[in-house]
Amino acid sequence: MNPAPEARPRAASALYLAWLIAIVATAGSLYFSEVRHFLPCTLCWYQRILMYPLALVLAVGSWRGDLGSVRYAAPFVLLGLAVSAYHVGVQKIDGFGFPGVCRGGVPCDVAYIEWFGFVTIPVLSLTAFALIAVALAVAVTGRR
Amino acid sequence: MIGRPLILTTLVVAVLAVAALFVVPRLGGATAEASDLNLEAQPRLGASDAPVQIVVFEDYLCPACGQFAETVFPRLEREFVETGDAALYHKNFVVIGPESERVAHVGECVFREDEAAFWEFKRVAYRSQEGLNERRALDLVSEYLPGVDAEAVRTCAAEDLALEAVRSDVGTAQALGLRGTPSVLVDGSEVTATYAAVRTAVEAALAAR
Repeated sequence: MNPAPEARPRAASALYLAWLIAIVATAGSLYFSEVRHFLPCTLCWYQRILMYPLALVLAVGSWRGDLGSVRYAAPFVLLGLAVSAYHVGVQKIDGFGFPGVCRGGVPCDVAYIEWFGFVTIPVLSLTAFALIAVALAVAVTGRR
Repeated sequence: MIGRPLILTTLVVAVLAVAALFVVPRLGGATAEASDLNLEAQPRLGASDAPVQIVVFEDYLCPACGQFAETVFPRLEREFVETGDAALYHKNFVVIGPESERVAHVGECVFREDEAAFWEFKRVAYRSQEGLNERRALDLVSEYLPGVDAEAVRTCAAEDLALEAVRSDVGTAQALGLRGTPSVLVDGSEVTATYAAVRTAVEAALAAR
């Protein structure tokens, strides 16, 4: 068995930072659903499915100083970027994604929050996935 | 340098924070002033000046309410209402869907006609919960409530004469931040909708007098 790639200080810090962001995003999404009682729409659920594992995978990666964990995190981050970007599009661009029909359940184009006039929950989600992507990229490039 | 003590500390803080997100909102139940609940306008079992007020928010189509009506409600009635210790009040909270509001509305229409008949309506409605809708609820009135003017109830239902009563109940439930049905308030404080929890709260309220 190959030893885990040893993380240098800068790489270790970046990995840790990525994990912290995943924790904040996870806690934030639970705050919206459990404390504020917002019901997550379908796209929100997909983003949660992709964000929550990051809080766990990156925890183990940080603990072991294992940069190999970035590989396991990458698919979640890339898909999370795609889903949250799509969701932001659905909210911000008229006629994008969903045709104007009435449907049951929680609509994805409704904004529960709108901080500073533009920060909706999918914007927060996209920001978190993007920051994690950057931090993980720094971790990988800072390896050598 | 990111050391293991820092990572461990982060982990503990994260776990505690997430645990708190789940626990904290469930610590304090809703509380309401008696005036917010508009009790004098609600169906009531027991004396209006009973020492303790038990208010139950229900949705006729909610299976948990059916359970509650079948198992908990009769015990509360027998042990606290018949002894004069408490009065039981009914309020509507529509959580299942639009048909819940229609059935609740029929209930309010029956209440307009006759308070005693309302409680009988509630009993038979829960026993017929499967497939219950407005039409079926109106049929139940004709079939099981001989003392009630079924035509008047039909008219009331058709013309939405008691809709305001249902909507006002639902508004109260939402303002209280109730999360589901059945929701039980004892003297204005939310308690878990189980026999044991209600009994504990009622006995505490009685002892506090």
